[in-house]
Amino acid sequence: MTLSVTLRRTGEARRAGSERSKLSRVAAQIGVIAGAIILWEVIARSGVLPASLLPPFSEVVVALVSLLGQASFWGDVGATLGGAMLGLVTSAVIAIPIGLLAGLSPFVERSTRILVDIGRSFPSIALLPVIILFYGTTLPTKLIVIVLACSFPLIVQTIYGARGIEESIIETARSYRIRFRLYFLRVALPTATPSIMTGLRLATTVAVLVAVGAEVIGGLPGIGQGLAQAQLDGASATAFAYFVVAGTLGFVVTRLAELLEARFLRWRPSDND
Amino acid sequence: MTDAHAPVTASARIGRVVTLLWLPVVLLIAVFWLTAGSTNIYFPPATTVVSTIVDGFADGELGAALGYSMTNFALGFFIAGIVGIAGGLFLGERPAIRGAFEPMLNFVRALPFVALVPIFIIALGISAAPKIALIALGCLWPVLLNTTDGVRAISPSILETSRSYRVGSALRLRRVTLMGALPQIFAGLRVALSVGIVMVVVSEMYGSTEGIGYYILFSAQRFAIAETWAGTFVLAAVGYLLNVVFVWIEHLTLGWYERRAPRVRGTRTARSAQKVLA
Repeated sequence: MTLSVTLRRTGEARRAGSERSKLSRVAAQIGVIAGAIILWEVIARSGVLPASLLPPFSEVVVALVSLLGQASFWGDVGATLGGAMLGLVTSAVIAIPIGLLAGLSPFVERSTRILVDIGRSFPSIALLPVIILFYGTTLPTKLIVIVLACSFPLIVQTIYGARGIEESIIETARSYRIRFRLYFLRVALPTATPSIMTGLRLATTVAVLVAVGAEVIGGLPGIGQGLAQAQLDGASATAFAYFVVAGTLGFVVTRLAELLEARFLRWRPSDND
Repeated sequence: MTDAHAPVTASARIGRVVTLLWLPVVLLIAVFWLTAGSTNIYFPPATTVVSTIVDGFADGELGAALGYSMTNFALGFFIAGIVGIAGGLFLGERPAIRGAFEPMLNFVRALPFVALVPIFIIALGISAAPKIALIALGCLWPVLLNTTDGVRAISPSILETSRSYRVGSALRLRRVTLMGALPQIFAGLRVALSVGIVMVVVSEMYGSTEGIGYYILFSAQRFAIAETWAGTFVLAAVGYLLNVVFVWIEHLTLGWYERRAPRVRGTRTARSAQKVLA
């Protein structure tokens, strides 16, 4: 009995200790962020760097607050997010079936391997000038660039997932003469889902990145264009505020994709190796 | 799937090469055939594009553009590689500091660094230095974060063994920490490779008078479409070649790792695959 009390006490002590260390960790994290902001402010105020390269943090905050009250700013956010999400969905519709087919059939995988490798190493944004000649600075232009950029990593992840079907499952399906459609939807797709979700999460980040890049170069409406215009006007604090918004957007979208991935894959046994 | 275990006969080897090449070759022939004699200004005959590429390299214009871009890329990538690996080893070995920096790094890695292109170029001009800085900045984070993760993933028993044998800290860093993190470092470098090429192209399209990105943009603005396609195909070829060379170097360096038991390798690559681009 004394033993169990002692055990419980040490357990409590340990828990209290871990809580204390957690608290000090959070304090350290806040300290790092505060330190970075102070450093930013000091460097910007000292005049070591051109003011148009690094405006002071305080001015960026002021610019950000005034941006948040402008309707055109929310239009830009909507254009970037909407374009990125539409492009993501389109590339999912194209890439997942191709990836599954290539993952199921070694012949298809080998036949498309070189094309997929070229496609995924090609910076799709380089096609922007050509696509602008076709469609002008419109939504389809942005979508094409995003779809090209997102599809190849997604194809690769889907192939990777579909190839992981166990031999015994393939044999079972074959011996029961499961038809291809059923096999495709009920065996291949669920097996590949974890890997597809990873691919989608990666593609989400890429979609936001490419959308902003296309807006910067192509002058397509969105955060990227707002940023470039602000910097051209000499309002670099506003340009930086746009950059912070773009970062927050990227962060939130990535976190959401991670949460969705975790939630969607709850059925799967954890593979924490 | 089974061909890895089958004895490789000459005919099987030819069959493998054929399945690898037939589709790209068919597509290439189709492109040449469909565009032959084309009068559509957007799709000039493929033969014209090929001769534009040849001429472009012959008169030095395309070669110079490519040289400028690749020099910027190499410098930016190199700086990012050194700083990223060093910083990642440092953070990976010190859990307290790593923990303190974690939220900030998570935010920084979500930043779309292409958006910094106008800020840097308008503030610092269209010379090469701001572009190299942009490339380095874009490439840094995947290398840094992957290196950190790689160090963290080294089995504690390995670190304890090296501690109990009193392996010196310099030796441990070089032979244990660096080597243990190397697979993940390569995963990070590979992401940095594609990020770097995007940064090269965007920085040159935004503000430059040189480079392959400028070549593509400028020819498109003049409606010199054959040159636009020529530049685009050259860029695609270079991007592909860089990846091939990278995979080859990775294979040479990580041969010891790839030969390990497949199960262990599988779990590790699954994890690093998830970190790709993340």
